[in-house]
Amino acid sequence: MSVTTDETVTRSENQGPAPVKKLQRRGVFAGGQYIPYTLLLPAVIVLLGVLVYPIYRLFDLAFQNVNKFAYLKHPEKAKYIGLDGFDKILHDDTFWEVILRSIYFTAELVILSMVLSMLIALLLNRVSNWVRVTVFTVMMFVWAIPALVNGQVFRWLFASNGGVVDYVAYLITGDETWKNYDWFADPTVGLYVVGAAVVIWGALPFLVLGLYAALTQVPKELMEAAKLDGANGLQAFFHVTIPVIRPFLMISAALSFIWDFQVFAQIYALRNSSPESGYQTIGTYLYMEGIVPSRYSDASVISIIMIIMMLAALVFYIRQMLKIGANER
Amino acid sequence: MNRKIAAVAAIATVLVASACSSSSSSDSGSKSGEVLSKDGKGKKITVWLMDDAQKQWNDVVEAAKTQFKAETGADVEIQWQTWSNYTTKLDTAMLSDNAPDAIEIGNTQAAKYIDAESFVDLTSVKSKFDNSDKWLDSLAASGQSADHSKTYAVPYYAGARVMIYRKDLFEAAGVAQAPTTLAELKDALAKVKAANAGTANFSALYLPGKNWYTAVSFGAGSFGVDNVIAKKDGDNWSSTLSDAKFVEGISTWNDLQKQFSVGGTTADETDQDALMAKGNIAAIIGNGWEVGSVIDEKNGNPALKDKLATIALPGAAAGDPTPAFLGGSDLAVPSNAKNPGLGATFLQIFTNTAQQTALAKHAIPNAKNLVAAYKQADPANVAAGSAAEGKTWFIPNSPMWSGSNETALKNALSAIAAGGDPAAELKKAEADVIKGLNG
Amino acid sequence: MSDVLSPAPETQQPLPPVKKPKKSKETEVGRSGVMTWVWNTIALLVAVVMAFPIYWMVLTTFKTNKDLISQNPTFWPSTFSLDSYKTIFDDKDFLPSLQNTVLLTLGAVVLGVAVGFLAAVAVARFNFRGRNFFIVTMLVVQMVPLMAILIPLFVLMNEINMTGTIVGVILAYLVFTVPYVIWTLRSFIVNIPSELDEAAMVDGCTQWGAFFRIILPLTMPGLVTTAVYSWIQAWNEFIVVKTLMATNGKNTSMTWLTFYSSTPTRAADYGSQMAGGLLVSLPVIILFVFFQKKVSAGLTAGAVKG
Repeated sequence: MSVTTDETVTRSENQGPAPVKKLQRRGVFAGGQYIPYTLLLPAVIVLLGVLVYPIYRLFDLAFQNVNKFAYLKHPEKAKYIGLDGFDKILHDDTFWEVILRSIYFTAELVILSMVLSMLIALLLNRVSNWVRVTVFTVMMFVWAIPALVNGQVFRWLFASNGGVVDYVAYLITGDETWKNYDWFADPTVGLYVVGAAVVIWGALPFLVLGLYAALTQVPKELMEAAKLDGANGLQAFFHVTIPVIRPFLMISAALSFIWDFQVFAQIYALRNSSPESGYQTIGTYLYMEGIVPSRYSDASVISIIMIIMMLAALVFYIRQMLKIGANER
Repeated sequence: MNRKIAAVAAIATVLVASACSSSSSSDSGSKSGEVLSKDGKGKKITVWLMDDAQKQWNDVVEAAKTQFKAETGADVEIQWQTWSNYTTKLDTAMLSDNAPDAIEIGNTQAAKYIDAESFVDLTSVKSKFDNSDKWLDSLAASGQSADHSKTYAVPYYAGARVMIYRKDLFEAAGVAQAPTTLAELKDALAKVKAANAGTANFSALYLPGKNWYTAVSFGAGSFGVDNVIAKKDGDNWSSTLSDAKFVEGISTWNDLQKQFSVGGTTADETDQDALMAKGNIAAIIGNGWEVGSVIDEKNGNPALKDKLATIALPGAAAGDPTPAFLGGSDLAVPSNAKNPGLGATFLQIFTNTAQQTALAKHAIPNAKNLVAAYKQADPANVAAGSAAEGKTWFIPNSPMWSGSNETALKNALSAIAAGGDPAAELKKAEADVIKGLNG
Repeated sequence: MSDVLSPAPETQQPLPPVKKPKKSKETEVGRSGVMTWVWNTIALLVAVVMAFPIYWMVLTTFKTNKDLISQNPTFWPSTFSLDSYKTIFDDKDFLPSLQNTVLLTLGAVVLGVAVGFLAAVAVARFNFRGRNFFIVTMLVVQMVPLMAILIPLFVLMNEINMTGTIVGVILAYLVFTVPYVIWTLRSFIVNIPSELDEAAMVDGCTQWGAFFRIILPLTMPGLVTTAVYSWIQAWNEFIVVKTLMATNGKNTSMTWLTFYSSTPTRAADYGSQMAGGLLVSLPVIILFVFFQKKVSAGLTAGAVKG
């Protein structure tokens, strides 16, 4: 996992008995059974208020027919319809299209951003120092730009009237028609090329910097030993490097999944506040088809499905995190 | 499992029921007995207006504020809004306890909030509004309850789209007379296109793919203005998009686009004024006031000042223009406003004859007797005024009509603009476009 | 620079393994000077591609209207102009919305870190019933997309009369700050040997004295990490604030920006749009330049959502 843990392990070795298996309360607050609960109280109150209660209301809405503004305004007019809401959404072809699109898009984003960042990180291990500093500086600036602004900038870059990408394509090909090529005409191109470009562009800095740092943790001796044993570069990479940086790979893949699956701001800004149906993955779909047209119960059902999908996909990751957490204790 | 859900549902029902009984009582008991109030000393009311007003007729707004202050002693804070995603904003405001005291609302959006009883009922004071017996029919209708017995929103102004074109380019191409029929229009555009063959990315008529107001106008031109998009049989809406007549009109629009419009297949009309200012667009279809933004000092090109002219969009025959969408705005008082009485008084002042006459310089005022003033104010206004007085079309009048129905329509149209077959794309979109209308 | 990127968030590490530009150079040189230059060129190309959107954004802000409406984009402005920035500062909503953003970001960070820190101390220093359940919950709730609870969050805020207020938004932001802060700070505090605070108490410190002298200072790096990360999250968030603040017409920088770029009259004024985008990003960029190392450490340590 993170570098933090690696370090924890080394340090606890250095300092003799690791503070790992503390069963009793120790330290500052030894004594006073009520103290931990007092300390937790603010957090518990906050989370009950802004998280648990809203989630309860989310389920409550999902079992009603609040699909009309008037019903949210006058809740007494709404009815409980049991599972009909789920039935309706699960039998909606559009919904399944969106789910499929979300899966494809997320897969594309996670795979491309992981592979690209790995290549760049490996590349950075081979370049002169000043080049590395240059790349890192650029990465930091890219990282700092808010997602919303990313989308806005890419909309301008890919505009069909005066966009620079079209112009560069024209300069390269000399073909006048490129000057007005509309990248957004076909949602498949617009989403899987331009949309993916925005998201990946914004995601690379974190991944590259993290992977680079992880790669520096790979002991040189191991690599040399592998070389001595006759492994070629590729074999050494797969048998030495990958296992060492595996914890970081897992975390970053999981984080990328979390970010990419619910992507909203970039696409929203890229399509100037009104993403068309072909651009809608689950986050934007929820907003454009659930919240904008006041179909609150439908939106709640979709939200619940979204949460479940997210947790199901990440069960493995959560278990790993807890294992790491347990070691730390 | 089912029993569990039932139990949860039962508990929830009790909770919700108890929550509402308290809230609804405070809602319905109107805060002040008077619908119109002039007791505003030391108070400040909040009003939401579209920023079109700030750009075009800020003087009218200022005059209304001054008069309001003199009559009631209260100040007015105007918060400028934009149409983009305005409904989500309204949704939250109408539900909350701190709604503004008066709001502008698009005539396509009003039905939903009237249905939800979100506006103060102004029926009893309607007669105290200037010209309320001469309000433009369709605008007045958009502010009424479904059976037209009650008035919830006051007409503010109307808009009808016209063709804005470059007189200089048309004349240079040998088109001296403004086209009066679609056939003449096509001829004229072909000439303009040929004369400017040397200009890069030249659009003789720029028709962005998502400008559904324009596209549906063409559809309504051949289909007719009644029941366009969808029609209601009893309680059920059914789509009329795939009607052969409607498809024919959309095809006309699509042909014009293929021949004369470059770029913008998936764009909407929001940036067309600035694009026209670049100089390689000879005509656009837009609201009359857009002339002002084409020649705007900052974002436009002031050099085009005397080179622009407007005409009603030609139709199949001379004197029978393509029907325009009758757009416009209403004004209403949210029922959860803090000072509904003062809000209503502000609306009364803001829509009185004096202000509306001043507003008539820029937009079509809310009453029939004032339209003449609008036409006189500027020769460019004649086209829009006539378009509004002629045949116009409107969206299906249902409280369930929302931005997502419009989005579905826009998507179908931009798919057509991007090369799709009109009949096939419209057929495909039918279900989506009327989705939700039937509850 | 390589130091900045050192992944280790702590200071006590002996001889950070990252500082070895010399060593790597030796091996590179040993391999082949030519190859290094090939790699350098590729890496610089990557840098150019990555930097181009930012370059284009900054460039656009300095272009005059004439350059912007010219038929072909120019890669260097014919004249530099500050008009776009002037337009932004002339917009009377810009500064108030920036002020709102600062207020609610500060509120969300301070409240989130304070509440989270207390709970983190509890889970790191005590064994109590429900502790494991609490920790698991903190991890899982970080995966609930904010968008999913948008509607009930609004309904809730409305019921307690908090829509349209900055306080309401701050409370809503605790949804994502508190679990993250708890999860991240927990690992920082666990790593402080409890012998240290016991020793302090033996030396005559009170419980609170030990807390302030030992735990708080040693957790400082973690506090900074979580604070910076929460700051960035709160600053960039816009969908919740858009929904909750809408009722009183107040904007934050992010909602102002979407509002600004979707106004018809400004939709094609890319110069001002980009200037606006750049200006609202600036505080985050500055924060990043100073705290980049802490942010990356915090991200991996806490495994958070975006």
